[in-house]
Amino acid sequence: MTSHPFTRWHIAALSLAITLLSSTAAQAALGGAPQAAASATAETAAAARQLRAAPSSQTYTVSTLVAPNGTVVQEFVNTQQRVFAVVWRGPVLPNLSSYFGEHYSAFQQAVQQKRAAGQRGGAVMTQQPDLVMLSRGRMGRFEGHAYIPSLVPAGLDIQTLLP
Amino acid sequence: MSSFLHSIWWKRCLGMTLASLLAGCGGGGSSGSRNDPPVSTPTLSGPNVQAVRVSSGPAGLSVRVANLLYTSVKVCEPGTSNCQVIDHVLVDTGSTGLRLLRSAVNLSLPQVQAEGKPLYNCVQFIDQSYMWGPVVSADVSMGGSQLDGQQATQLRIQLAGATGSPAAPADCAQEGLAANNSINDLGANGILGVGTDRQDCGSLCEEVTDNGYYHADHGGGALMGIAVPRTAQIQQPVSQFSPHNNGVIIQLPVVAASGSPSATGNMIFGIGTADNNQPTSTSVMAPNLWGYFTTEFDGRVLTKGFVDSGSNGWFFGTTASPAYRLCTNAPQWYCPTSTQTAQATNSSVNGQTSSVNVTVGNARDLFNNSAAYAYSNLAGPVGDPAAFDFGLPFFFGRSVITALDEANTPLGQGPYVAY
Repeated sequence: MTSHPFTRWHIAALSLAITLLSSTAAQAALGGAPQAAASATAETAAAARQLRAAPSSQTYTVSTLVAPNGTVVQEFVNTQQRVFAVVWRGPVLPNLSSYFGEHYSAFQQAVQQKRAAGQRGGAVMTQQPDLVMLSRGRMGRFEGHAYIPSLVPAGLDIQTLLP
Repeated sequence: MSSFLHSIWWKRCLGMTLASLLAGCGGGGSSGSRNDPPVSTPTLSGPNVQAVRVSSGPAGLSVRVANLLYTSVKVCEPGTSNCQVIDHVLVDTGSTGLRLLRSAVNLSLPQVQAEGKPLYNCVQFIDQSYMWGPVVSADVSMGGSQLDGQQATQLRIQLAGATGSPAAPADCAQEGLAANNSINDLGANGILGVGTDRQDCGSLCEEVTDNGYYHADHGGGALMGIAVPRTAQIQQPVSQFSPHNNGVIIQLPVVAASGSPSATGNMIFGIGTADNNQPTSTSVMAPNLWGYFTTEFDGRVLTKGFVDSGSNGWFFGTTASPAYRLCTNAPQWYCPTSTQTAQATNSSVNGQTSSVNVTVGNARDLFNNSAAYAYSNLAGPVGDPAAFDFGLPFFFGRSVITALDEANTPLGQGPYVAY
């Protein structure tokens, strides 16, 4: 059995690509509106292979980005065009600050508090009224999610979107 | 100690750093008079064995971090007898490669060049911390009474916190991640990654330039990602200890319920390669594609179970079980009103199952034992009910085998963890 991380993520990314269709959804930070300009930049960036999802339901759309290192990030956008959830999985953490936006300080605080509490290993998490976040994995096999409960479309079980 | 005093203790510790939380607050208290003795397993001997120890940590450490497993590593300038024994290196079955704090090394170790340029490495750990620094070459030896039983010549290792290094690249060392540049960051002088992976990155870094792990300095601190062949990446040191190169066995003693000031055991190189490392384990847990086995615990099926000596607690999720109450002012740990004892049942993709007894004490009470560093019942949450991280507490009273990827052993081919 191989355990080469790239092979695993490569497979994951490929199977994801096969299931995705093209659409015009845009990348945005958590809680923010889609940024068309940022999206256009990403589309033309040679370094990034940006995959687009068709509306996967009537209540949200999905935007997926696969980094060159194989890390896959999905952003879930509600009908108000605001990103209500971000999910990632891959050998290297994605640039979390760009996906968390104004909520990144909560992530930073959780990392610092964990260390201050004398903890090593495990996972980093936050469960607040306006942000639920979890970042964890094995070395070279990271995964995590973050969502804003108040922005989750009514009737959608957020757990079904998380890894 | 009364609950009132507990409350005072807890409030005093609020907002303080770990240094004060655990050293300052715990220190000098009456609870230190419990005077639990140090514990140890019978000492093994042989050129493939060395001591490992949970203790108060290296000189210069001013914070108290419990449940860190330390050992010593002998490092030499390649091809010379200029050597140094680095003490208090963290034994981590959850990562791969030897990484030392530059401040702990008094040798001149040559930096590795890749495509004619100085090579740097950055790794991220699961607690959202990272290590960054030059890749250097060293003759590394371990095992035996003089730490010269096994040798890995010209082993590629990392030096972290090196002055003069370019700033860490943002794709790895993100602003919000915790750095591991100092003894207080790490709680150790370095990390000895003896996990199941043979290299820290593997095929990803062979095939992809912007891999996030390896970077070349193009002058003036201008870093660019670089692809590096597997043989030139940072290697799991034990993989070089032929013939004892198929994995590692870690044995630790049982510790007192209130914690022990230290716990000393053995780290044995090789699985079934000598008389002293014949496996007696009956449970072989192989990881699935994502590195996990399945754990049934507290009436639920957790799909992400794994063993990691570098995690300093049992870290698992519960739904809303009132038994596993979070500590009031330190929600990173569990503070049950009474000690909880439960059973975790692990099953892996190879069809094997096994049971593990899990005991969870009140973390606040445990930390109040100011003399203690080794706890078998320290636990915390992981944010959702799907994961179970069998950290260092799992290792106490056990012999835990970690087999390298694709290694042949009497218990089958790695990777696996057996106990």
